[in-house]
Amino acid sequence: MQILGIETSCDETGIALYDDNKNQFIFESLFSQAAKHNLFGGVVPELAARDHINKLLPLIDEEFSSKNIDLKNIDAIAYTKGPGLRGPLMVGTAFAKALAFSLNIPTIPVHHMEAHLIMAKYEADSLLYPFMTLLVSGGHTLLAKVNSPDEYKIIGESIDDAVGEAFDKTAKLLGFKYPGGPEIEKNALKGNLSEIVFPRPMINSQDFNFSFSGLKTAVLYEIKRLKEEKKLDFQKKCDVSLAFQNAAIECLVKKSVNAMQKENCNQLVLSGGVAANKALRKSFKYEIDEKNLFYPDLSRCTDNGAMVAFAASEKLNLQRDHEIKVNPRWSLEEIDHG
Amino acid sequence: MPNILSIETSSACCSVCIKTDHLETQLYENNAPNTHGEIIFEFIKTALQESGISKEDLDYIVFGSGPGSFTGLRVGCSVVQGLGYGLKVPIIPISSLRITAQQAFEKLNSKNIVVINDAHMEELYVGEYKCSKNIAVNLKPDYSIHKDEINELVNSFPEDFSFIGNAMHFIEKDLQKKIIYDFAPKANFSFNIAADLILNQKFVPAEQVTINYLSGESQWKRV
Repeated sequence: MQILGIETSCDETGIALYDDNKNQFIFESLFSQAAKHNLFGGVVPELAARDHINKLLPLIDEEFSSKNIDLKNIDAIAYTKGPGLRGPLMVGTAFAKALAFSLNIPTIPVHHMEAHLIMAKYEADSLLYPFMTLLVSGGHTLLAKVNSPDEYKIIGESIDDAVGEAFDKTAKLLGFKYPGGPEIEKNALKGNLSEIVFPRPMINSQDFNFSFSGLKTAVLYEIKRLKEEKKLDFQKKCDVSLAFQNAAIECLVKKSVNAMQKENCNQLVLSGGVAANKALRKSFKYEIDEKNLFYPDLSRCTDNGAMVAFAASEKLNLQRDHEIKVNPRWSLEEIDHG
Repeated sequence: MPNILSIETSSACCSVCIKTDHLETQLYENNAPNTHGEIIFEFIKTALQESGISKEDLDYIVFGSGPGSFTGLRVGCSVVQGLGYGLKVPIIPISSLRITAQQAFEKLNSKNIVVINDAHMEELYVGEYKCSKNIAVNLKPDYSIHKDEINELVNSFPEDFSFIGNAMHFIEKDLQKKIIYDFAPKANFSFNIAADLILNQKFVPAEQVTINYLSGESQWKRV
């Protein structure tokens, strides 16, 4: 069957058409609003929602028209139901429901984070359930054990800021453009290890939770000090970027490795926008055998429609299992409506 | 008469109506802010059922395209885009202020109408209309003003103008004008305008439908 995936949870309008028989994408298309939000130093939810309205259908029409695909080929429409920004989510959801209604096909609501972490399954046949996943983005920092496409156990998460948010805020403090994550990564490459050392919050705590607000505050005070001493030149900004990135990465790597040991998982999936960070990937390679480390293609680390369509397909596969099971004492209250 | 589905979501009221060559369904409406998304498909399905046509029989979809509630408009626009694209039905966007003016004309026989709605953040949406051949016609494109300018604006119109909308409480009490309080646009009042627009081929494919917010990006602070 062919599933149209729609992602509009934040500032990327993403679509993809996935054929689950061929296990391939017929098309993938993405419009990033990053340039617009860069003018405001971060995502403005109202403007993000406006852009989704203006871009979603033209993106879809461009793919269907240029590839001469009949809309009637679509069997289901998957959309991101949440979590994310309310206004942007509403656009994708309302459109998906209306298009599906007009074509007499079902819609499949998809959890945004689930879509991110399950995407690694598409690219790696050797990834087997259960596996550990570290989801790192502007909105989330989460360690979860994935037992199956519909069974997740949250092992740990950030108790305050998401790590991607800390990257963005550090970049903003340093005067880099939005989105800040790639800017920090780029400038950290030019940085020198110096006397600047930032704290690694909660790194030795017994649980698997994270905290990044203290790190962010430490960066704020360091930048303030450098400014007062008139030492915040470009090189120092690169040094701060490197010191910040090292601190954040060390927290992520250590907690993930410990969680894998505790939960007896030897495979780890990195997902979310921060998973595109090459320094993070490199640090994990020191700790985990490369054959057990999975991450989506760089282009699919950030929000996209492909992951939504693929996650929906994985869910449908679950429903189409061939186990012959009955439930003689099935209570009305136990029905799962998804 | 073609089969027309009309959707108006620019105010706290979500309203849906269908007109065919032999009947106009009742107006399906729900006056509760932020519930448009929960109710709109039920309204569309029920109106289709009452009209006796299937969704594939629709010839046009009318969209009250704002200005008004950002969220309400986006629910309406997304639904209209999805339906129009899937059913390959052209869309007729009509200003929500124009629909309000048409309503005032049809219900109250007001010939010259200024619609003024609260845009919040100290702004007001204004639409100036006159009735010509039984249809509300723009005197000029809809625009926005600061709320402090409302009395000056109202005073600048001759006696035969009526003022309608949800911003009437901003008008000074002693201005001797015909004021009609709270007049939210309803989907069933767009059919006469739509008929005229169809005659003049003023409709667009779903992928070209946009919202007229009237307020731009200036209210958000740039870095």
